[in-house]
Amino acid sequence: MKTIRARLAALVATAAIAPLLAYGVVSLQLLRSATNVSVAGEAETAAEHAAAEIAQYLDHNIDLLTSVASDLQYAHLSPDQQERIVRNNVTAFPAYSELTLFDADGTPMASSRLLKPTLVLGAERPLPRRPRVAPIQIDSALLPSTEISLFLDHAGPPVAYLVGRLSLEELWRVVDRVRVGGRGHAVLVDEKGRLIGHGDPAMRSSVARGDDLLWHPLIHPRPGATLAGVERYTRQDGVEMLGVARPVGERGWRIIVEQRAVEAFALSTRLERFLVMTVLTGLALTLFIAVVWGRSFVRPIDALMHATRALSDGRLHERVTIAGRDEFAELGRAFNSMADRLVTLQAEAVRQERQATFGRIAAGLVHDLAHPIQNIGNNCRLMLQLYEDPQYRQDFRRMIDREFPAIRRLLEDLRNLARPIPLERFPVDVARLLQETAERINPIAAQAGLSVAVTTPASALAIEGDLFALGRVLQNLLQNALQATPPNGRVWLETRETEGRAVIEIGDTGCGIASERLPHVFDDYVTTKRRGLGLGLAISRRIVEQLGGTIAVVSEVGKGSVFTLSFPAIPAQGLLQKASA
Amino acid sequence: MLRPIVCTALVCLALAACRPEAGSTPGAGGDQASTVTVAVADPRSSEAGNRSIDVIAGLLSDEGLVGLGRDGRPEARLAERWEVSPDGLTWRFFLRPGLIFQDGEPVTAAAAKAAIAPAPAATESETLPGLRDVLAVEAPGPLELIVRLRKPNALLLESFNFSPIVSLGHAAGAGPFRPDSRTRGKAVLGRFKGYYRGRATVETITIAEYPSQREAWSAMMRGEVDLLHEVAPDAFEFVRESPNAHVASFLRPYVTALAFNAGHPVLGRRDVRRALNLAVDRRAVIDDAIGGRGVAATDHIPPNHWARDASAPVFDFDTAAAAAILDAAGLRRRGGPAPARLTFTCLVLAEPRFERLALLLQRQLQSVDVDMRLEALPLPEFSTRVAAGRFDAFVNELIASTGLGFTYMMWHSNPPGPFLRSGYASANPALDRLRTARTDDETRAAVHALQRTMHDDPPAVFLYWEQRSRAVSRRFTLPPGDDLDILRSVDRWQIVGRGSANGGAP
Repeated sequence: MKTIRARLAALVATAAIAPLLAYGVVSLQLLRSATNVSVAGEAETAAEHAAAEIAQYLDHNIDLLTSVASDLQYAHLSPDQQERIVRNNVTAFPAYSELTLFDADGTPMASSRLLKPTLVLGAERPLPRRPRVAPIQIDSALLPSTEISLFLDHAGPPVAYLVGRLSLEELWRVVDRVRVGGRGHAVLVDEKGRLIGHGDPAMRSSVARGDDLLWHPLIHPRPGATLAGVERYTRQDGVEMLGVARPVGERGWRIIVEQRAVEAFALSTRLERFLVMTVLTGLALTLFIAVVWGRSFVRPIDALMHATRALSDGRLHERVTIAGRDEFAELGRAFNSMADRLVTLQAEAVRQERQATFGRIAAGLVHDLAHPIQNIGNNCRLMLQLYEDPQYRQDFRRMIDREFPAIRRLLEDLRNLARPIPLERFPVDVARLLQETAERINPIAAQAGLSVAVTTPASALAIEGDLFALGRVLQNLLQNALQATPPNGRVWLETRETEGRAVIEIGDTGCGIASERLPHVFDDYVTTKRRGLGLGLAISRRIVEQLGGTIAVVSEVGKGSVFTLSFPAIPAQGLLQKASA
Repeated sequence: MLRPIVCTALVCLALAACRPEAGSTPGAGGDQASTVTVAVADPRSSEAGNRSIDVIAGLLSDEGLVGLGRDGRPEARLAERWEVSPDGLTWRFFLRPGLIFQDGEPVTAAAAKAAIAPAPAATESETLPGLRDVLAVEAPGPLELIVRLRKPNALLLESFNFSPIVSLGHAAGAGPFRPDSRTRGKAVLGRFKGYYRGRATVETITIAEYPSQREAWSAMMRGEVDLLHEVAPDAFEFVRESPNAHVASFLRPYVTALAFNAGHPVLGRRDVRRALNLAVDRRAVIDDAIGGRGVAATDHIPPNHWARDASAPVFDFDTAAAAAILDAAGLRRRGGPAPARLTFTCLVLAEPRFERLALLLQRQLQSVDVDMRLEALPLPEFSTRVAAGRFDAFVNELIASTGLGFTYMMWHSNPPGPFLRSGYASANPALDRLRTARTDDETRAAVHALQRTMHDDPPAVFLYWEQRSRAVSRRFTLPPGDDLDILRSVDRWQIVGRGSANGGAP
């Protein structure tokens, strides 16, 4: 049964649980992998868009300044005209708060400011021909700005520079527009790692303070990493973040799009939980179904096994109840039919056995009683004629002494079989018991041309038992031995102590017992003789077992038999006490 | 002489705009005691910053007989009620009983009389219009004040809003906060427990000057500042989304205008000024100059004034119509290198925002071939030139309030006001009607007439009423109110998380 259950469990494990677990593990791995790619991809896309937008904003305004420069450098303009151009353009392009034209010495030639311009041409001159973008500044109104300088080679004698102060407030708007998930935001830093814009309103004060992000792992990437990195890191306040950095043009600025890792992977976490719950639910369902189905499969087998054991134990009225129409139900019905048939057959067998036993008992009684009764009857008939004959009376008396005990023994056997005599327990000297028994049986043995040899140990050997009952057992066994042993054969009694037990052997060199009958020689009404009810050995075994002993037989046809009795030995002092008493 | 008047007017105006509102719930006290630190950042100069500190300190420590509501209606302050005779010549004011000044002196009619009685040496132009008709001020009892007028004056009550009552002995005010100390760049005011509307929720107010908006904002982020007095328009978006601060906006009591000198040979012509009004796109100016944070103006009458005619005509942006009018006026486009049909010089305050505004106007007027040349001047010279009438035109903020007194002072030519001498006299009849109005209907009719006049014969191109913002730490819960200068309610701020404990009456 365990094997069937184990096989069922193995079947469920391999056919359902293992694939489900494998599916769950593979799905989790795929989900995590896909989520990582998706989350990072979303942030990368946002960062790239923002970086492109910022770069485009700067390029666009540089182009605007270049167009103003082109208006200024190819015509021989008067100072008023130059001033009108820069002033018109500063109002046309609101991103520029001031435009000032400088000569080669850095002296203002024209400015959008009505009084003294606030822009100053730096000491670095001549400026390169490509536009020069100064580091970002946060002005007194908290707004970021930069100065863009252009080299004009035809604007005035001999060269000039156009400088514009560009408000970068739009960068904040670009940064603010970046939203990844619920709270993912963008951060803009300049080439020195200084914070220029922060998409998290709570962190805006950092911009106002002029904080830097030099601690940020995406600002100081690991050796070998590029500006465009993806990092999972822990912020200064202990919050784990997922960040993506992208360069803004070629100015060394970087835009970082970062999101709390918890939020970034929230969907993934939910899906993972859902997946795990689904797999666990599937496992639970599978196990439940397996248990239910397994039990429905095993239960009829259990029932059949139980009923079969009951039948084997003789409980022939045990039946199985298996509902349904499947093979198990059919098997159950067949089993029940078989059991019904067994009951019928057993009843018939019992009835026949009872009849046979009764017949055997009756035949045995007739046989065992017929001879004594016939002897008694014949002698009684001679009594009228030979009553005065002393020889007759002497023979009559011997006949009475012989036949009536035989009849009484037969009747006692029958009575003992039905209601055993209560046994008494006293210390018994085994050697003495064997000697006395041999003395009583030897006259009979002598008639058969035999004698009983007794072998006893040198030291006293005692057991606890009923002297009369033990004598009867020995007498039964010896009579059987005498009956089975031909003249000149050997019959013996031997006792010894082995491992705390008193062992008594009753052996003979008689005809022996067939091996197939040996297991049943101690059963009731089993005999190998033509006479008798077959109760002697059965009664002997019962007595021995009642006294706590065992009885066994070893026999070989044609060589003889040895019956071995074994009793717990007791100290021999018990015999002394009894003797003194 | 003029500068003290201008400064006084500015302080009075600030008082008008920012004084705690009448009729509001009495402030809480006791457990609600707290300190509010106000940051003033005026990048122009340290002097300007110091002046702002005094203005704010004054409006928090002073109180007048009568206040001025958001719609220009008078509100009872130290005077709990007043009566006027049927002929409008005698006003009788009844002071609240039991009031004291911050020095412990009782608030009496005698102190009030001293505050509002015209100075003997003051000229008419130096006197608030509402007080110009005062014949006598009497104090028949400790709590009763009688003001006798030569003729009815509808601006009298409004004038009291700008005339703080102080104790006779120590010049102590009766406002919600008492000046405790004043050092360079810093003023400290303590809660005045005897304030007539109840003890303020806030215990102490510290007003500190910061060199820049940035430093003030940073200080606010660090929790050192509770109120950023003024958020630059450009930085508004940045500040607005801060989780650490409320940002409250209000309409400044100033109208920004391109004003003309009526004595100019061309600009003195009504049709030219109308044409220039049509040539200016106010919406574009508002968007470009102040980031869209303002209300278009058509005249000098506060947009929320109760007597204002909302259906009054306005100037629509129409360059074709403007050009046609100029053409009709004989100002045709000329050939040559300077083809402008009209050239004039506009004074500009030498500050980036006014310069930019002037450049925007210059560009717009170029579209109708008007050459407005710009002359940038620092504030003192600018004020002198404008007050003296030595200009063709100027661009600046014109002082106003929620009332009409400053409108009268600005545009009535007889006598000309202390701030502006433009020679404009077309509005005199309407302004006279306004001054002498005795009923609401007469006032309303006068205001409507003034609106029509300023449309038909505009003295200026009125551009916009600018919206400004103040940032307040979210440590405080502000009382509800829309378009309200939060400084007016500072005595009722509550600390977040504290229950309302009504401190009750003084």
